[in-house]
Amino acid sequence: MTAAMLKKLYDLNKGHSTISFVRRGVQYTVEPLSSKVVQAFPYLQARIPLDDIGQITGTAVEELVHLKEELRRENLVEEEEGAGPVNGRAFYARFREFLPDWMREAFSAPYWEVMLSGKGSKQLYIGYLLELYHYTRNANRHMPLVVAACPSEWKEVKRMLATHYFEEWNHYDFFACALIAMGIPKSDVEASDPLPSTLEMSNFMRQAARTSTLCYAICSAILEGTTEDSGNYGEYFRGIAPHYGIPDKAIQPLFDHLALDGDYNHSSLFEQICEQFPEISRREAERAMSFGRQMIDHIYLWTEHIHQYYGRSGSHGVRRKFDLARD
Amino acid sequence: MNSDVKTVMENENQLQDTGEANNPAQSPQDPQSKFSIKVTKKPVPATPRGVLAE
Repeated sequence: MTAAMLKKLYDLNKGHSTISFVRRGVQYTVEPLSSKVVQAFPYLQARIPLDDIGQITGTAVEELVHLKEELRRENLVEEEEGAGPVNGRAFYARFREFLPDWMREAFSAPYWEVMLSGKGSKQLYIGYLLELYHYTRNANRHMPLVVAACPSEWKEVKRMLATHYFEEWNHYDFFACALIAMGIPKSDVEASDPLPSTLEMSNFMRQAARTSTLCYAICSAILEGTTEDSGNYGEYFRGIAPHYGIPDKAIQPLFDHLALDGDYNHSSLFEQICEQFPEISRREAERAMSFGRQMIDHIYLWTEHIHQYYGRSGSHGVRRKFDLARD
Repeated sequence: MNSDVKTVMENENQLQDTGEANNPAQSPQDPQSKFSIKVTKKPVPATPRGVLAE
């Protein structure tokens, strides 16, 4: 009996006769199931032969086979893939398949829900702005690097990356404007130090840039991926503003930033880059996906660090650089 | 609704019906349909937009 390995599922919940889980932005509920199948379900996520799962859990293999076929119809069973190269468009399509679940994982950090629920603070918003200010400012640490590291024979890709840098290098100004509107003096913003996790994010981008163009581009695409669907930009910011007395002028610069990125069509850059590659080796495709997946973890940890640091009582917000006399 | 029919209940705005509910092979009369499993799908809330732009 062959093994049935399910594709990665999120938020798996076992009920008395039901299983629910999330994949690609959709919540699935499977029912009715016998209690033994419910208990056996998690084993389907590993590459274990159904006979063995039946033995381990005391479940009739016939039932497992039926369940597997139902899940296969929903495209939830991982099929064996060849070891050959993948086309760039197909690679991009796979990335798009993963992205909704990845984003849900990244945004499962408590920060976002805390802010929306009104249990956050103005200081947490300032912290978010400060760290985004530093991250975008640090684009100057990694964007030139990926342009330089991109192989010379990939002229069009190199041009795209260089254009991206040219269009992005000073976007930290938008966050500086929002911070000034929140009452933080410009001199304090400019003199501040990023959190170690913010610096680490740009270090990870530098690592990706040195590894390969695709490894870098997929990480950038994940961040740009939050800028799609311009109709919903306001939802989060307008949702948190009344809770913390955030003035419009501290949000408008972020909308201006998103509008400019939209004008540049940055959210489609990764797709355009992928289209330049008729063939991507399996090894490179897997390596790039792995970087994308790691980027999600980095975003989660980054957000968590912002939450912990700026959420501390007594935190005055701006992290000042080391000063020999003061410190 | 006959529980022997594989049914996909979907959010009409975001998900497409697979059309499998009309598959004669899955009909209630099919004696091979020993187990009946219903798969229900609904979209999960979207993640915040525009909050991590470079």
